[in-house]
Amino acid sequence: MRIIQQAIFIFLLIILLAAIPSILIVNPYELNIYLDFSQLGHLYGQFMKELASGSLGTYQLGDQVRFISADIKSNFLISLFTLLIGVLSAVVIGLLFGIFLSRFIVTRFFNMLLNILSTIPDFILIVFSLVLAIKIYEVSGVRVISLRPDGGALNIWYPMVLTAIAPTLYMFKLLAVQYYQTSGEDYIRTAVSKGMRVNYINFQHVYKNIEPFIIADLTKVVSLAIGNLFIIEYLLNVPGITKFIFQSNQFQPITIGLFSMLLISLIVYFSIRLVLYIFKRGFIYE
Amino acid sequence: MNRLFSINYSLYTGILLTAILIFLAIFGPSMAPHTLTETLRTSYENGTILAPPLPPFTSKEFLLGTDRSGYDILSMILYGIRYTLFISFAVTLIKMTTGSLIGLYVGTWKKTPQLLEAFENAWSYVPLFLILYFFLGPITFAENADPNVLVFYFIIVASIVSIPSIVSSVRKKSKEISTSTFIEAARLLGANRHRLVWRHIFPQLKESLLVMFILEIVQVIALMGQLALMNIFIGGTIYRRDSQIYLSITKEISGLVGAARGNIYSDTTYILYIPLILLLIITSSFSLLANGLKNRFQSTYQRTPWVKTGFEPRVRPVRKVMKKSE
Repeated sequence: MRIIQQAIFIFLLIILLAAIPSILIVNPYELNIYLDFSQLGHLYGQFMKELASGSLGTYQLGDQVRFISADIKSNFLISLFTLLIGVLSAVVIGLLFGIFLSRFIVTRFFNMLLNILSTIPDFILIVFSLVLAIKIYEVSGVRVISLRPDGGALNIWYPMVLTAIAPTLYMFKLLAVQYYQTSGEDYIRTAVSKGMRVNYINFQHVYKNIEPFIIADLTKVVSLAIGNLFIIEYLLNVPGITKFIFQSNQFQPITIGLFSMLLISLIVYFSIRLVLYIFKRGFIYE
Repeated sequence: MNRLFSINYSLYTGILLTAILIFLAIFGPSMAPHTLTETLRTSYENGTILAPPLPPFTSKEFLLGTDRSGYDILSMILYGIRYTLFISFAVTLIKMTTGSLIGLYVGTWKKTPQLLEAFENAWSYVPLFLILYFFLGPITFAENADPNVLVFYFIIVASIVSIPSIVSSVRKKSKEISTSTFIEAARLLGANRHRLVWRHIFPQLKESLLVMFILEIVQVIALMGQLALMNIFIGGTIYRRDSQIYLSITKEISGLVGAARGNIYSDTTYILYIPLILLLIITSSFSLLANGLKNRFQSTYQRTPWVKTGFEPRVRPVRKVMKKSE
C-alpha cells in the first residue's frame, strides 16, 4: 500500500517538475510571477499521444532536432554505470573503513582524511578536482580527463570517481557514528565477556544491528549520488541521461529524462540490496 | 600532553571563524575599498602595464586583483558575503522551526500517517537542487527584476522544499524518545501533549537540533553553490549575450563562484579560486562549529564502547555540577 502511494507521489512530482518551465511565467512589465495552468492539459495530452504512438518524441540539441529513442539507450547505460559504481563504492568503502577496519592505526589516517573531506560541500570538491585534473595535464602532459562526449573511457572514468565521492563520505560518516553507538550496547559487552574475537563481534553483532540503518539511508545515498551526477554530467559534458533535462526547456525530454533517472535509481537501489543480501548470506550466516 | 590533545579545538576555531564572518557580513560594504561599479583604469607604471584582469597582490589598490572587466574582487566579496550568510541563515531558520515543530508533534502520535511517510520517502528520492532548478530557472534571468524580491522568493521556495527532510529526521528522533518509559510515566501522571513535547522530548533533543541547525546552514550554502554551477544565482542572473557571460547581481559568494566558472580553462583561474576558497572557509567554519559541539555533547552523554572502534572522542566531558542542597 505504502509503495503504491510512494509511486504515485513520485509520478506526480516528476510530471509537475517537468511542466514548471512551461507554466511558470514572469511578466516582464509588471514584474510579477504567476502560474499559467492553461497549457498544462495540452502538454500532458501531447505527451500521452506521443507515447501512445510508440515513439518517445524528440529533443533539441543545438540546432538539430533528434529522436530521443535514438540516443536514450547509450545515455541511459552511461548514467546507470556511473551511478551504480558510485553507490556501490560508497557502501563497500563505508563498511570497510567505517566498521571492519576502523580500529587499526593504519586506517586511522585514512579515516581522518575522509572526515576532513566530508566537511567540504560536494560541489566544491567537484570544482577542485576538475581544476586538479586540468593542472595535472598542464604540468605533466598526461591527459586525465576528456570533456568530449565521444572521448570514450577518458570521458567516463573521472565522472565515476567524482560521483562516488559524496555518497562514500556520507555513508562513512553514518556508519562511523552507528558503529560507535552500537559498540556501547550491552550485548556487545556480553559478547566481549564471552571472549569472542573483535572480528566475530563486528560481523555477528555489530553488522546485523547496523544493516537496517544502511538500508534506511540507502535512498538518501542514492538521491545524493543522483544530485551530484546531474552536476557532474553537466560540468564534464558526459553524454548521460541529464542531456535531456538540461539541454532544453521542452516538456517531453525533461519528463523522459526524469523517468529514466527514476528507473536508474530503482535499479541501483535494488542491486545494492541484492549485494547486501549476498554479503549477509555469504559471510554472516555462512 | 594529554591536556593539549583533549582541548576541543574545532569548537573554538569554529566560534572564532563564525564571529569573523558575522563581523564581515555586518561591516563588509563599509570596509570595501571600491564600489561595485568602479573599474580599474588601464595604466602604465614603472614600465609595467596594469590592465584587467589583474592577478592578486600586484596592486595595493586592488589587493585581491580584478576580474576580466576590471572590477575589484575584494569589494565584490565584501558586498556579497552578507547575502550568503543572511540567505542561508534565513532558509535554515524557517525550515528548522517549521520542520521541528511538525516533527516533534507527529512523533508523539500513536501512529504515523501512512500518507506522510510515503510523501517523505518520495520527496527524499528527488535531489532538492533539481526541484529548485526548475522553480528558479525561468525566473532568475528575468530582466530588471528587483534582486530583493528574487532573494525573498528563493528563501521561501528553498525552505518549503527542504521541510519534508527535516520533518522526517526530527519525527524519527521524537518517536524514539516518546517510546521510552519516562514518557509513559509522564503520560500516566496526566501530562498533556504540549507538556510531553516541550518538557520531556524537546530537552532531550535540543543538543542534536542545534548541531543539525548549523549543519543545515552548510547544506543551504551547498545548495546555492550547486545552483550557481548551473548559472542560477540567488538574487538574479545577468546574461550578456554578446560574450556569453553570466553575472551575479547580488555578488553573493556562490554566485561569484558560478560566474567565474569559465576561468577554469584559462590562466586566470584566481578569479575562480578567491570566491571558491572563501566559500570553503565559510562552510568549514560552520562545519567546525557543528563538529566541535558534537564532540562536546558526545563526550558528555555517550556510553563508552566495549570494543575498540577507532572513533573514541578525545575531548573531556563537561559535566553539570549540581548544587549541594543545604
